[in-house]
Amino acid sequence: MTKRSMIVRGALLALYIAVGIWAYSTGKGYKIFVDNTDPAVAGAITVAIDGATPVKVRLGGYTGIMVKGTGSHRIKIMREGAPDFIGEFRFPPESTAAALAVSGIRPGSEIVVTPVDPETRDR
Amino acid sequence: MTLKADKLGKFLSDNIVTVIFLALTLVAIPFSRLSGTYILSNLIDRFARSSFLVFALILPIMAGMGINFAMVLGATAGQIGLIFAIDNNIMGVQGLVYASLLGMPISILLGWFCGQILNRARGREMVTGFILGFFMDGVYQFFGLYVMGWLIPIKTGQVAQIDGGGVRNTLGLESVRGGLDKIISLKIGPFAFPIVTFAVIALLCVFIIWFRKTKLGQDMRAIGQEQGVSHSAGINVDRTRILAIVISTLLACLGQIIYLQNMGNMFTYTSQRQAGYFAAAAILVGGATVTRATIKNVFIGVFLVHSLYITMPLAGKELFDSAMIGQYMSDFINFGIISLALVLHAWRNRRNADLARAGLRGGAALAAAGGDK
Repeated sequence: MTKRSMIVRGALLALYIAVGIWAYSTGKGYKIFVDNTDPAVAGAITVAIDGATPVKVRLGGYTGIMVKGTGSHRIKIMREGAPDFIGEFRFPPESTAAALAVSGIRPGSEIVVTPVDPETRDR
Repeated sequence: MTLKADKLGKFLSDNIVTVIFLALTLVAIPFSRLSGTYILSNLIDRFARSSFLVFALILPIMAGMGINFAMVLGATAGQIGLIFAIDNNIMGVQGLVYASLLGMPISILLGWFCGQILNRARGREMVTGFILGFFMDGVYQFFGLYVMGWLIPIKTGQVAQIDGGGVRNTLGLESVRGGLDKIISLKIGPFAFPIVTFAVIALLCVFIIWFRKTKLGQDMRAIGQEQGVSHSAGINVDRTRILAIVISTLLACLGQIIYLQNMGNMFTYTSQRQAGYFAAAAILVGGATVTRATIKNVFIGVFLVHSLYITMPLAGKELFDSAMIGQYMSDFINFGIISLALVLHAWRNRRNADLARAGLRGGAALAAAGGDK
């Protein structure tokens, strides 16, 4: 094998690994539990994160939604079909799942997201 | 008049499989009572789903190895990649890239292994490939049911069986569903065109056209014509045949990932087998033989087979008052087509041999009149 072909093969291998790392780090999914336990709010809400298909969250319950990658995510909350709140939140680093309480959302203030254990929460 | 009849006879003889399938589809459409819009929108979706997979069969046919039933090995590799992507929660197109990166080395290894065996079973490649597919099923089941969860830990309950050992029989692929199709989806009226998937299929077509013109492609065609002469001409026949199978297995791996991201769920232990049967039926219905296949055959075959899949269950319901019978008929026709194509191939080979013998005996006129080679 010539030196040139060794360099080409090495570069291809490095590219292969780099693409793998990119896919893993940017595509990794995390679960966000959206709580709708606000006593002041009547009725179910519909939540869409990062433009995905909206998911209904019944009053007094919660729903787990998968988001791609940590970092910033866009959330849209709708009541009775009309947009009620649009904002952004940051997924807590070093955690695989987090909870977001709709009752804690105040227009103009940062959305609070707390890390949770997905196994216990899923039950 | 006789010349016209001869031409028609030759056309029917060469395209009998396609003609039968087209006739069945045309009969099934009115009975199904489905609208043209429904059939067409379904066809567009299914075309994006399966075309890549069927392309995997072209190169081995070109190299004279017949229908590569061992493409099941590549499809299995793609499924292993997807299992890991789902277990690691890799979503969207990144999940598909991750699955491809894991599946490709496995498919290359399996393709090399398969090529080695097929070289030792020269002349009986199709039946050997078929049995290799069954052998791989056993290995894959051992891997999925015992190695996964025992040697390789499964991280999520979505993948693991209830007792924690082995991979579930059915996997939901929601996190990667439409990962490729939905990157750019062009909506024209009631029809949605997955542009990126079509672009990938177009790229593969360009690759195949280019590949046929390369030295390796020419070598494969020469080997497909006559192995002994190719060997005498200095072509490394064994290596070229192995490469044909390796590329086919690799394409089957990627094709299966594209197929499953469109479906959105995976029957862990059977999806790969269905992929092999479907691809074989589609390319044969498209007019390919076990010795000749083109891009046109792939497109016609995918179009016709899916037309029948869409219409037959409902036509069966209308005709026999049971959608199940329509489904059985689709499967029966699928396998029947594979059998018919293989029987026709054997019949043509025998007829050509008879004609050649007659020609040697001085019956040159007979050979010229009836020969189709």
